[in-house]
Amino acid sequence: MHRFPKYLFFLFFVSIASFSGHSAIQQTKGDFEDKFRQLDEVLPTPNVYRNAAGEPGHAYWQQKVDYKINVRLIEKERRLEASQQITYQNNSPDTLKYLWVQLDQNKFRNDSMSALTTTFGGIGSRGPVTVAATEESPPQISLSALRRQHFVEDNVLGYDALSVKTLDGKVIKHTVVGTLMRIDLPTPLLSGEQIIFEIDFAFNIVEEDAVSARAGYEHFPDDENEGGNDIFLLAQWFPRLAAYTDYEAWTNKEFIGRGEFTLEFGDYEVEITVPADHIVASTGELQNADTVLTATQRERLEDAKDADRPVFIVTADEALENEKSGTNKEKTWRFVAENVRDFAWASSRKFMWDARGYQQGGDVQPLVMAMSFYPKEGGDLWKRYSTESVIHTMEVYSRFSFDYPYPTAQSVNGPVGGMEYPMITFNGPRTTLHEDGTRSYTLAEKRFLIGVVIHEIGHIYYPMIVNSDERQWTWMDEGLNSFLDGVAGREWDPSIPWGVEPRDIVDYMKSDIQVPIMTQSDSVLKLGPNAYTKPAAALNILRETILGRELFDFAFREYSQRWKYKRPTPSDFFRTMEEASGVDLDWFWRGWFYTTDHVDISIDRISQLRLDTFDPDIDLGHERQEEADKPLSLTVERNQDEGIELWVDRFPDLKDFHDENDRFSVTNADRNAYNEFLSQLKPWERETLLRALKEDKNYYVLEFSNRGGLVMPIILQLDFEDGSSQEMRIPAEIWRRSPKQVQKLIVTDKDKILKQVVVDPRWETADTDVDNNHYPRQIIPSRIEAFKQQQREGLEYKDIMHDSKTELKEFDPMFYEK
Amino acid sequence: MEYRRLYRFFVMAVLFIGALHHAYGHQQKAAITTITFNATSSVFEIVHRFNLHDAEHAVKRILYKETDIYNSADTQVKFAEYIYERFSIADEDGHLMSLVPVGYELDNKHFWVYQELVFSEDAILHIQHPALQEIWAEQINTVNIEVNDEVRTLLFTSEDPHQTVEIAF
Repeated sequence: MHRFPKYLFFLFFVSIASFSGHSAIQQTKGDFEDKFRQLDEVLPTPNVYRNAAGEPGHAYWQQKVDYKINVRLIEKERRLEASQQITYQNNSPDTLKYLWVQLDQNKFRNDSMSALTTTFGGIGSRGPVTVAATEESPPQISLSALRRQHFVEDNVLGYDALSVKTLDGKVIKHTVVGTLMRIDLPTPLLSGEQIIFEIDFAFNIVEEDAVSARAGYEHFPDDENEGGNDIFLLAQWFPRLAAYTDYEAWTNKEFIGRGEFTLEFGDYEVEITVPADHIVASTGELQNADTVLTATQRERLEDAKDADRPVFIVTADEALENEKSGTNKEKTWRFVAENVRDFAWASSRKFMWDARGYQQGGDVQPLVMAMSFYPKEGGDLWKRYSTESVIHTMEVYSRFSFDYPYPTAQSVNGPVGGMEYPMITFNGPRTTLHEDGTRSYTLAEKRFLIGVVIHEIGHIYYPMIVNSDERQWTWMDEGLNSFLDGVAGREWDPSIPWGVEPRDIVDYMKSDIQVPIMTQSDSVLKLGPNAYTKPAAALNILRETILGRELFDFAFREYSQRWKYKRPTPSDFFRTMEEASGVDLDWFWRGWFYTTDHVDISIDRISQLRLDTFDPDIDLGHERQEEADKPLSLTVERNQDEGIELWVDRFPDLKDFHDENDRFSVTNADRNAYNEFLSQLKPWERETLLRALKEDKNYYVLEFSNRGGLVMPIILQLDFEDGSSQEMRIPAEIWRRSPKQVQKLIVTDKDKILKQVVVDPRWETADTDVDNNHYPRQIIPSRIEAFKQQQREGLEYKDIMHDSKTELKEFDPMFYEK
Repeated sequence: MEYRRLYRFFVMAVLFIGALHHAYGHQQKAAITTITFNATSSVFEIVHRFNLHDAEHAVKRILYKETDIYNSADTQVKFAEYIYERFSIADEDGHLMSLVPVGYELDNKHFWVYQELVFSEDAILHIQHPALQEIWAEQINTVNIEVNDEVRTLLFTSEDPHQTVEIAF
């Protein structure tokens, strides 16, 4: 530490005479950057639909679209044929001359924008791999890319039959534009009115493994049934009305792949006709259990409602028996779903089915049936953890939002790694089949299953109920949901380390290929760290470090409840969190969501100040001590070592007054000057000085620099020489007038002598460089150096489930020759 | 008439295994590498970080279906060797530089692979990092090069698996 003993500290704070005004939009002189500039000019102007508090305004509206659908799964052709009746309620203040409808299946057509703009060996495509040519290597196409190519060649994809007509059968003019269709209404639809019309459609279902979709079929050729069996996952399957909104009007942006969906809420009645031996899982509540389930299955379902652990509606043995043969007969399952923004379903004769009632209480939905559907390939992994994970998710998420409002919450195993729809999710993890016919799963697969079920069930809240616009803002559902799946994951088992810790995002944030979180979904360069991890880490920091749990949880719940069954935009989230917490967070949104700054706060120097008292008996003594503390001259020391006797010691008669009294000796002249100084002080000045003298505290000035650009609170661990330690949390606002460097005075009691200071000791702010977080600097081994020092082996990596079945072998003792 | 180069058409022998996983929020198909100059030892330390959810599925494609990166020491070694083989640095003249394999480790979220480059001069380096891009087109490998407190980022996609960077001390 540097010591500056000479300065009187009375006038320590110098008021800043001038500061830059906030009225100008741009700072055009100097390099001052206002990191705390309010976001008003960036956020959309509040209006009657979305107010300045981030709430739905007094004139908030949204459309309502109800569907009645009859759909038939033609198993042999892997084809859907359907007709639907749509009731479109125009709640907007506008008159609509046309409607836009999403035709997501058209994405798979060869001439779609998605297909035409998929680059060869390109970044960000969702399909199988191709590698562009380089100077050293020819271009490469993987077998899976060829498989996709073959599949697309061999099958007619996209809607191959499509008709739009009035209820009395008159054709309505419609124009297909890629994955969208414009329907020209026979008469303009006035505000407050509704129109009912019909769409018939059909398409061939894609093979999920071949085309990498969010739904499709998966074929199991090795099943006993001749020709094998399929699992069908059906999503984005029916023409859905595009959203018409107050902030964007028609959200008719082409479906390219990354930007998912935004839809209208409505009520659904869906009749699903499938082979009679199939089990169907679907959005909504089953209406005709009497027809499609056996008496035993209905009894089991009843038992499951208040069971402690999942009850099998279809057991493993029954499912195995069922998948051994097919049927030509059909059954029709009827489902009703109220106030949902989408509808998905799954069907297979391979499914076993377990269920457990989640008694959540309350008035909204006291009983929710948590259910899982999976083939033998899911096995024990699914039996143990799927339905339990569904219930755990609802328990945790509801604390942050509202009671789960739907009658069912389901997890279905199929070819999709993880995808979400209202009341139903598709999840991919499975057991591994061994050569001896047994199945086991690793810790990795277990974590994957629990993690993905929590994540996808979590999506039923965000965005299926808090209906954000996924096509524009992936982070609004993935970021919020990743944050909460981290909360839920840690509450399942804190040793299972999912969740998004600030330290996980530092490498992305310090890179210069970051794009702001506020970037449209299809344009984001690295969707994982950008739209999932970074916003989740930011919210974690907001909760644990900046607002604290009480304020954050209140504000987050307020956001969720305000926008339940409604359509929030980013500004509604930012405004609500700020309004409800009562904390100005514009700097936080600006830094984390609107820029690509990163966090790197360095503690550069600590200076210790000492009070000069003017009392000669004190100050001169201090100065004498300082002189004595300086290292002895090397020459003088060596002279002493050689035994050279000083001249004055050899001839003491030469000594005088100055040899006996050093220059720090106090004289009465000094004391008179001091007394005169005291006598001239005003009473309050004398009182202050004398108290400071009596307390004799330590004064330290800490100097920080902000090297990453992102302003954040400065969290300090102060370690004292007596072994004690103290935490100090300085709000981010310390940077408001000097965002690059700040100094902070810290005063400690006389016996609390500062030994070292650590910035962000718990790694809670995503500080990218912890080397400069210590004062005095410490030698921190690099990751490689630490690795060389200690190589770790973790027992959690053993497949104990499989290995424990290994038979004990006896080994003959080795023969050693002497 | 314009001469059009006829490329050899090459099919990669990548076996397609089971289900494609789009684990939203779990499999990220992104790796990050940090190349830092350690002034104390005068070497470049190369730290590759792969998400375990990526690595556990990648080894099933790269190695064989039933392998398990958590469980099998052999799989871990082979994955590290795969990274040693895929990642390379060449000097200005295109000569491959010798990277020292240091080791690998798993923590609860990541698979780490370590290498060192004994080198401490100003140079132009050609870096290739096509790891995992032959199985996932969308795999993005990010490399942060940190010299003298300055971070420069290179992005390796299957479209651009080669990048050049100038190192100045």
